[in-house]
Amino acid sequence: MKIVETAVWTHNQNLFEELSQRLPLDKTSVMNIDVHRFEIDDELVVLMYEFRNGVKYPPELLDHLEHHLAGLLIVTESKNALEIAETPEDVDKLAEKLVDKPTVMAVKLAPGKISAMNGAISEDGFYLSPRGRIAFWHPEAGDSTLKVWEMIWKSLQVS
Amino acid sequence: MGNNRSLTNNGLEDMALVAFIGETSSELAGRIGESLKAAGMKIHVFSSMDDLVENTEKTLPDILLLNPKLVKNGVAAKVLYPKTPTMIYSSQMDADQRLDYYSQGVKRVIVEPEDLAERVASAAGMMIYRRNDMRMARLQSLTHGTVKAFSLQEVLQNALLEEKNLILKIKNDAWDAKLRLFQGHIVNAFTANLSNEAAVLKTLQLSKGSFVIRGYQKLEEFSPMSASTLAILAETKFEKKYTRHFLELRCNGVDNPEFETVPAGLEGALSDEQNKIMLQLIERYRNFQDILLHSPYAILKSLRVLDRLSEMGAIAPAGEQPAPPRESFRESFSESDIEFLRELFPENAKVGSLAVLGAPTSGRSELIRAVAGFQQSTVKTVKSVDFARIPIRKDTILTLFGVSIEEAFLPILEKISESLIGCLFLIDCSNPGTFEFINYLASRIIQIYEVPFAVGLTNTGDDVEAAMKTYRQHFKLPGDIPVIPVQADKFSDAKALLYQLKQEDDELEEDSEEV
Amino acid sequence: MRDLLIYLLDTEYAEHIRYLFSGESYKITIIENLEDVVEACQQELFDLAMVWPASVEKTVNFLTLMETSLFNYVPVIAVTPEDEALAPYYKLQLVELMKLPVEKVEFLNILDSVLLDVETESTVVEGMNWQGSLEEYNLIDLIQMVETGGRDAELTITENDISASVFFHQGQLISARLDSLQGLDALKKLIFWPRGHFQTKLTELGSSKDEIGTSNADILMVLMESLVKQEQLYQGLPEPFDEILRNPLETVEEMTPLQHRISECCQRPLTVWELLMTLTDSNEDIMLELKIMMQMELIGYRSEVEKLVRDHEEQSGIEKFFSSISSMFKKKDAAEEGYYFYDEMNGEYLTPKLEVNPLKLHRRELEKITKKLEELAE
Repeated sequence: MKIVETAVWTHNQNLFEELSQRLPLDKTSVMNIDVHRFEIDDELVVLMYEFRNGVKYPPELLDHLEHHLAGLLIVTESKNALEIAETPEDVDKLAEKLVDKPTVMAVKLAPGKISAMNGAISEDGFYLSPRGRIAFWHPEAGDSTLKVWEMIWKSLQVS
Repeated sequence: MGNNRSLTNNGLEDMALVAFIGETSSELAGRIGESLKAAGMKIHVFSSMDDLVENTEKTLPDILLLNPKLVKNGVAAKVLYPKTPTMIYSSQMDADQRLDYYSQGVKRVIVEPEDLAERVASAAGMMIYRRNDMRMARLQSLTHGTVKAFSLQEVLQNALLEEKNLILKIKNDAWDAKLRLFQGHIVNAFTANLSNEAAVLKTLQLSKGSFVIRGYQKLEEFSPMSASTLAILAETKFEKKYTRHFLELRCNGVDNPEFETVPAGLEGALSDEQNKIMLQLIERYRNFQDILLHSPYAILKSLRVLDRLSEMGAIAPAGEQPAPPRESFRESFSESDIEFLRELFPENAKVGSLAVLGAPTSGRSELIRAVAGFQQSTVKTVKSVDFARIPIRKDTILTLFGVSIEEAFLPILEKISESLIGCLFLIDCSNPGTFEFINYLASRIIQIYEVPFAVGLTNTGDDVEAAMKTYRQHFKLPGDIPVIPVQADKFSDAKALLYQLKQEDDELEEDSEEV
Repeated sequence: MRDLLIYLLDTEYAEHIRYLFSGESYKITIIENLEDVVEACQQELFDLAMVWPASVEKTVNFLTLMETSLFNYVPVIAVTPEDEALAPYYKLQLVELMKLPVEKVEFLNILDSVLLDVETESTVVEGMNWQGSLEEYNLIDLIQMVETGGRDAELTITENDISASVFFHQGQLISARLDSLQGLDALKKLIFWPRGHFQTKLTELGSSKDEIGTSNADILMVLMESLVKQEQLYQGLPEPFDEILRNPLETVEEMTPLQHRISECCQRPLTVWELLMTLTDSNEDIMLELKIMMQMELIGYRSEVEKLVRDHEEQSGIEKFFSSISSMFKKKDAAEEGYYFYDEMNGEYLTPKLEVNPLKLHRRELEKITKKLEELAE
């Protein structure tokens, strides 16, 4: 069995719910972390650990996960983008630990702005870093939410 | 005999260990006994098996040393070996004989051409040592516990936060598992058939068993497992939830039900390898937890296969009659069948009952299950009456009642008479001794109830013509009751029999028209 | 799966050993040098050890090493060559003795029998559900685990002849006793036990009166602070189970009352741990005073003090002034416990390294994910 582990940092819980509303997720809580499960089949499962802005997580947990995470998804709204740019301590710590992991910054934009985007950008996002992309989404903008998920998981290592 | 360093470490200072020696030679028994006495044991020597067996009823020895000359008639194997650790000794014995003793439950066979007494005494001492002193040393040196008292998830969670290096060995009867954690990460996991993630997830499903834990020291480790301990803990939670859901859906929420295979439902299931393996496990273990544990598949896959088999009617919780399997997943009542059945109902009636009568061996229950299964209804059995409710339209229910004619069935018919729309009689052709009685009963019912009747001949064997002939010779039922041979568990035959009611109904209409 | 350690004394037997264990659920570790045995036992939890082909001398050496290295909980079987006399083995602490040649089936039968006889699960005592070593689970771990269970329990901790009890009502810690000490004072003593045996008994308590009156979370906070403080203070003191002794050759005019008590206790050799447990003063105070007394050379390692006393008695008057007192005190850094390794060559502590197999998906698996997302898009 394979478990794909993704860290999801969100500015607030609503954002994660909006971004994931089309995914059939199962949710539980382990060691005070909300874990969302997306089953591909009985031998492949994706687990998303939801880290929220302002919540303190035990450093041992982050140290532990560092070895296993396949990617980092940062979910934010455009109005908070500057705050992200100034990097709150928590996401900074997380990103620092996961510097080698595929990272997607998913920025919520107004639907009109997304539809006005160039096809390639809406498909593949902007370049952020050698293993990072910026994607844009809105729950009402077609499949933009699913494209975010596709982007983060497509960047996983292939054997 | 020095290796019984202490026979009293476990607090049995005042209770010496007891050895029984079954030996005809007093000299040999004496020499063996001397050595054991020197180590503080109490010795009893018996020169006859009967005396020995009788005395074990009063005092169970800590060890039994037996000369094979006393072993006769399998008494020892049945009575002694299961109760007390037994050692057989001889100066000569061939390998086959030795293996035979081991297979009977003897713990040790000592064959020593010279110095037999000393060898036996030493071997006995070693056995006592390991059962007492060594076991105590392990109890004191190794952290150990039961899964019931402290869950393995707690152990793993603690190890994660404290970044511990631990080796866990878990045991549940004949099943075992081993987990290795390095700095709180699971770096290795094995069960009999699985490794890594699947092995850990299976181990964490255990609801009983025991474990030992020991810390270890190592500077570096490589883990073939990709999953974090947190992921394993989360996935365990999900799988437990899924297990709960399965049990509620298929087993009325019973925690650890027993399953049995349903012969009628097996045929379709056997073409799939995974199904076959699970069915073999069900035959062998029956118990849900044991089936999951011994399954070669991961927990989730095992549950999915069990679910599939339940759906197919190939398995059911023991004691329940499952909905029968579909011969083909596409076969069921067609629209015209529904129409036909609807026409049996009185006008505007939403509820109709169909009685299926027959002796216990007539296939009555199988026929009801066949019809109910294809319509995905369940069959309930209450006081030997089978019944199944079949919705044939959104607002119209047909209830099948299976009633044995060997019990008081008339009161039951009386109860359902208001909604009775037809009656099927199943006659077991392999039991001609009952024909006269059935003929009498059937005749009475036909006279009492003015509903369509049809007769199905079951267990006709290969010669259907002969069966039909026999029927006509023995049965003289009023009216012209249609009769056809049926295989009771076959939906198509059941349908054909139902259609005989239409024929009867049509004839009634024709008769009335003629009038 | 069983883990077996085979101390192989003649590689000619390797082939036969492989044959005997082929197809069976045993994981075999073969060690040819006695020096490597300890490291092997440190890295694995062996169910059984075998000396093969055994000689009396080699078997004795092996057993002695296992005993001194505290691996005497590993049962040992001696497998002797055909021409070996067995009588000399009768006095050894063996769980079984076999003479080659032995048939595979019989061999495995005997092994199974031994392993069954030494299994710990066979002796689970009614009500004692969890027991083990403080080296694996310290007091803080145990409090948290009992709390999670939410049950009534009695936790007993013992080391040598000293025993303490901690009581829980529905997972809440309600009282603790160590000799005359109770409550938090007892717990603060217990937190520093570096080794010992614990047992939990899940059992209904007669009285559920909360003698401590603080939540588990607060208790743990206090204990963790106390542990950190104690560990810091302990730096520079001898190992907890090293014996210390009052140095009769040194005196001071004035001692504090606690120093007096320490001095009294140390009139006879005792371990630092015993000292901490014997005195009812807080561990922190005892450690502080003990440090001062050791700096003043009033107390030292037993072996050194005894040597000094012997030397003093042998030496003439003025030579005593020149005997090296500083040799009494070996500078020992507080060795970090548990999982840090001291590299003697470079004089540094090494942190453990873990390499995790990174998750890699097959193309087929990535396609499954993509397909699943596409289905959701429809």
